[in-house]
Amino acid sequence: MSFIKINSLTSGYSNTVIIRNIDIEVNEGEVLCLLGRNGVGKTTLLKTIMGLLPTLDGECFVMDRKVSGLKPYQIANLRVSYAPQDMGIFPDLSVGKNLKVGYRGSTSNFEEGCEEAFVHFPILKERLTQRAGTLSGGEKKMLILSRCIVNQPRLLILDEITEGVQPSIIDKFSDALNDIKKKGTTILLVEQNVSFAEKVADFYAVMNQGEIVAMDQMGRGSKQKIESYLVI
Amino acid sequence: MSLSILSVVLLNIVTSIAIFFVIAVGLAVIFGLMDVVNLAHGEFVMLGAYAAFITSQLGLNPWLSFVIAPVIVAIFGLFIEKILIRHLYGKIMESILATWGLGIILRQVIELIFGKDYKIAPYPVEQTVNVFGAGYPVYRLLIVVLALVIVALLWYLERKTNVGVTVRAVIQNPNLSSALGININRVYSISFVVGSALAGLAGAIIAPLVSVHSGMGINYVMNGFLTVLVGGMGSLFGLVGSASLLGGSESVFSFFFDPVWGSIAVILITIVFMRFKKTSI
Repeated sequence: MSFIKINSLTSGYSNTVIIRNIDIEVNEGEVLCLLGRNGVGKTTLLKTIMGLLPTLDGECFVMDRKVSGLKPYQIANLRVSYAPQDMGIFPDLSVGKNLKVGYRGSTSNFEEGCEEAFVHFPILKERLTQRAGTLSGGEKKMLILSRCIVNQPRLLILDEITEGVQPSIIDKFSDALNDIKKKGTTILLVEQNVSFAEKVADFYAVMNQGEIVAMDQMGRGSKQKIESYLVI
Repeated sequence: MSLSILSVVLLNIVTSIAIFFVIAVGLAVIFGLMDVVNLAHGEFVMLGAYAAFITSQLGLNPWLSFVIAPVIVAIFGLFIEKILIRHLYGKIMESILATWGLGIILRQVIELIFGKDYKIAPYPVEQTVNVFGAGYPVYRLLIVVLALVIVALLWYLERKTNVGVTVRAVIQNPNLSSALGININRVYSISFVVGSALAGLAGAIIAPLVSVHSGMGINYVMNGFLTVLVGGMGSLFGLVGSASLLGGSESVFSFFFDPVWGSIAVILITIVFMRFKKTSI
């Protein structure tokens, strides 16, 4: 059985269709990376899976449970962690409290999860009491990914987690994702950075004009194929 | 001015500030979190005052009204949230109109049940303390203590508990909070109930100081609303500051001139504040 199964999904804003007839299957523990130029519907797809946008047609299953029509919090409570591209932190809360929002486990598990995240992003440990709004762009992304690590999700949905992160730090993100993957977490990520996608993904799908135009296993030669779709 | 008069004036200023705060805090909780202006807040306060009156009529200890009033108004708030407020989240203008209408209905219903005459709720404590030769009611000092307890409890809840983290997250970004597993409608619902309970408690607190009648809420909703506007939504200490400024000014102007000037001062200060402040209203 597929861990994520999306059948003929159509979605958009109000009555404007942005993505149509999307079919995706991801098995447990696999990493699928969605790529495509700006405005092709990648974020719309993730928001629809999370219940932040309405499903206009088709359906989406996570762990055999139909999530289309559920509210975002109900989907999150299936141990789905979502890292949005924009506005992914609470700027007026401290770094420590940002990690805690929505956390439901025990205090000891929370502290364990934090330590796990700080192995990859030790700067956050130094800034625990600092207001999250004062962090740099890269540090904010570290905080978003750390919150996902703390929550120990079964499905992780990441929207351009490397956007605005300086290249020297991007390796830390791929290390962190590979560690999450080792625990059997299924990951669905949207990326513009093809090299990063190559390091973490098992499969890729390329989107164009609201549809999936290519899907294959990530391997040798994938980068060239993907980039051929991204050329304007 | 003799020392005893000065002391009484100063204590009156402090109790006036406490009353402003106690009235406004429930309104601020609802406004700060849900962007719903509950113009029936004054009537919720009135219901709390009537609960205090009924408590005494039933022969119960007047202290019990501090528990009975918030519980009754909280239950009523839960009902109103489900049938009315739930549909008004984030819609300021609609919430103003709908809750104003609700206030009118509540006034009329209470008038039909209890009549037009003024009711009296007894003081839970009738002693006075000697302040430089002048007697000052212990109950008025108790209001200050109660206001401080409410500030301390809300501060602790907001800053030191997971509930506070959840509430502040929902205020800042409801969509993100929902995507992180928080049922925001439940948070809104609980907040409205807490705001209603605080209004009920405010009603029970002020009931012995005033005449209890169906139209009493209008006097309080205006001051409460202005206090929230000046203090800013969602800021506990902003609210304490604005209650101090407006409550203090009203008391000083009422003493040196007359109560009408006290009310005018409150409105003028609010207008000046709103002129220089960025706000959604």
